[in-house]
Amino acid sequence: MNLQAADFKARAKEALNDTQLQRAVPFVQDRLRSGRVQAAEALGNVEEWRELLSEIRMDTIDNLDSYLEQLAGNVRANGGHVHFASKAADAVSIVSRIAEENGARKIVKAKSMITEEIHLNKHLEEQGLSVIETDLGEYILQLAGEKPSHIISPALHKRRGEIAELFSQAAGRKLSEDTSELCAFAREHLREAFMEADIGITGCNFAVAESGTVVLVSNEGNARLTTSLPKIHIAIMGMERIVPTWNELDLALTMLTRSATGQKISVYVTGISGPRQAGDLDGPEQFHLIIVDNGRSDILATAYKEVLKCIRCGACMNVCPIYRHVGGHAYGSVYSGPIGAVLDPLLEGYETAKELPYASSLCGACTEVCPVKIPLHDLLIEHRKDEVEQGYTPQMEKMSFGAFGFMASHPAVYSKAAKIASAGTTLWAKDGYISGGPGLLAGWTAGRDLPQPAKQSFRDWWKEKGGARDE
Amino acid sequence: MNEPVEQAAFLGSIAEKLGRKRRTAVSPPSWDRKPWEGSGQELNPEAEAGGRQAAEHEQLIRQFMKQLSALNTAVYRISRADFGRVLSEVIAKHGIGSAISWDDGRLHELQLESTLNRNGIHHRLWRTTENERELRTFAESADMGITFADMGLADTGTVLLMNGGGRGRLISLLPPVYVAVLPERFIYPRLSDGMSFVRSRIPEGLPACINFITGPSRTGDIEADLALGVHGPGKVHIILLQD
Repeated sequence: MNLQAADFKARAKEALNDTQLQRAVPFVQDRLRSGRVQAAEALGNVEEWRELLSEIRMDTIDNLDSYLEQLAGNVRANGGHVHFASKAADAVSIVSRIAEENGARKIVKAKSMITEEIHLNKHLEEQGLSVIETDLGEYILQLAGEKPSHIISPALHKRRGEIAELFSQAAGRKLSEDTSELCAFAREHLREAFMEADIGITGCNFAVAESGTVVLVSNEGNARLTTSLPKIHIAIMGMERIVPTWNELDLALTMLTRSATGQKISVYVTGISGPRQAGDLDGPEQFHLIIVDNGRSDILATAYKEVLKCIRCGACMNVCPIYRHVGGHAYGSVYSGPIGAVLDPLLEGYETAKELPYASSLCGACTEVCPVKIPLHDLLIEHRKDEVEQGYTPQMEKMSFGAFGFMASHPAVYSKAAKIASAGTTLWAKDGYISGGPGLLAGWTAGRDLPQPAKQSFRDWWKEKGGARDE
Repeated sequence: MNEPVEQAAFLGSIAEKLGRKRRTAVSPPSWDRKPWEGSGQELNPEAEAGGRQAAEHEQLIRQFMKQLSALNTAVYRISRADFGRVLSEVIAKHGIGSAISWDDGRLHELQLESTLNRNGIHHRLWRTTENERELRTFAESADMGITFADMGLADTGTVLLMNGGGRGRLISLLPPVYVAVLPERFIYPRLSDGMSFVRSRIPEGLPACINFITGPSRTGDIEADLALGVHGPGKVHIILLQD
């Protein structure tokens, strides 16, 4: 897998030919999706929850400087250190420096998308540090040398046979494909890593400004081990992952786990307020919070601002027909699915991610399930518009947009064009579908087949039927 | 306090992108809507639940138990006098040989140690005067961890643990079997009650670690197949005290 390659089509094709992936993704997607549906039904008034949480998130984003200031002050009051990182590289060098200053060698990590975003592991390993992922899914991927393909279920594209093979290699003995045997091996093996680690690194699901608390949501308990056993805990957060008080946390948590897996709450919700206190015999002696911008503040001034409301539940991936067919890796970026298609071009630029806004059928299922009401499919259209304006779109597509715009706003021309379209495409059509063709047609059919236009247009049919219009 | 330079630059850039001057000390609006029902009572789990209707509270206890039984967690609703007998049952069920518990007056009152002794359990308390490394090693190999809980939440089947000092966070985490003891009068309707409780403790300073625990450690990372005990305890027992 090449993260740099900006060729969505090639990666999608590869995914479509991957029989393992074609079985695995829909299977897990269905489970997560039906979990969310049941949880939403159980809430009864899910629309009220979405509306309120959306408003809460928007207030947070609009007052981000104030809430972050409050958070930083309270983390310091709790005895923790606060670092601000404008760029990914800044965040990485802060972690490197903490490791170096403390003579650390071994690092354990809990699942965190922000550390994927800043490519932390790669840099720390280059520095000669051992970094072990402890979330079961992330551990599977680390053994396989792969990246997460889903925000919540990072290894959902893996079948158990592959996992048993990877674990058998790590164990140096043959393990069965039985889930509990595989988990027992991981527990034992990773427990040793926890006991020996010098530094634990986590992300941050939500930071609570009013008390300087980092809240971690996990089912396995690896985030708890990561924040309890090593002498140093480093939490890394995207700057928007903040709630003003524990009241807002209530709503955010309620919606996060229900939207992600359908659980009413995760097994563990852990609030970390600084390092261990006087009289504590466990917990880290040093606590560091790294607050990362990495392109987020630029989003504040754009039409895409609402994307910062995201609480990383993954619900949009679990309903996306495109994600279902190509999986997360095809997106070629850190975040996948509809949220990735909106966010990646903003964080990485159109140069590398220009194809992602087109990796959508614009069916709107993502927007419908988003617990914070991000208008995801509208933002995808916004991206397409911006790409056209900034010249990132192939010439043909631009002409198609232009020509269609002209026709659509001139009824007489449209009507003529529709007639011509049917007659004119007969040459390339087969069984009512067109899969190739010249000029404007090629721009369309390079990516998908086009149904041949009907001989009679809807408008003509309507007229012929004496279309009962009121006016 | 003077603001650190990096912080000033970072926050200044946010304000600029938002197209306004820096803001400070903003309070969130008081959201007037509560999408859930039946919350908002005075929160003090230490106090008697005198203000609440007994029947209403009975409902909460049943909801708490029902929720947990759906999450592979055994709940025992017993009188204080039966604590020793029930704990002995749990010990026998899992073939427990060693245990570690919070050093907490609320557990001492239940004669926890004498129950453990009677069952021949090798056990230690998380005493802050002890050697850290030694205690941690013991906790890592112990078969069972025992803590008290500060609150129960009926809607989710959650127990809330305020860790710190003799109430070590590792007790509910390292051993494969975990037992939490909770007076049933500490059960409240939902997460918002837990949040209000935590908020009420902010003025005196929160402990470094707070845990909301709901059932056994679990994962679905292998083909969404539910597996218990992947990192934390795979067996969880809640002992509800009827007092």
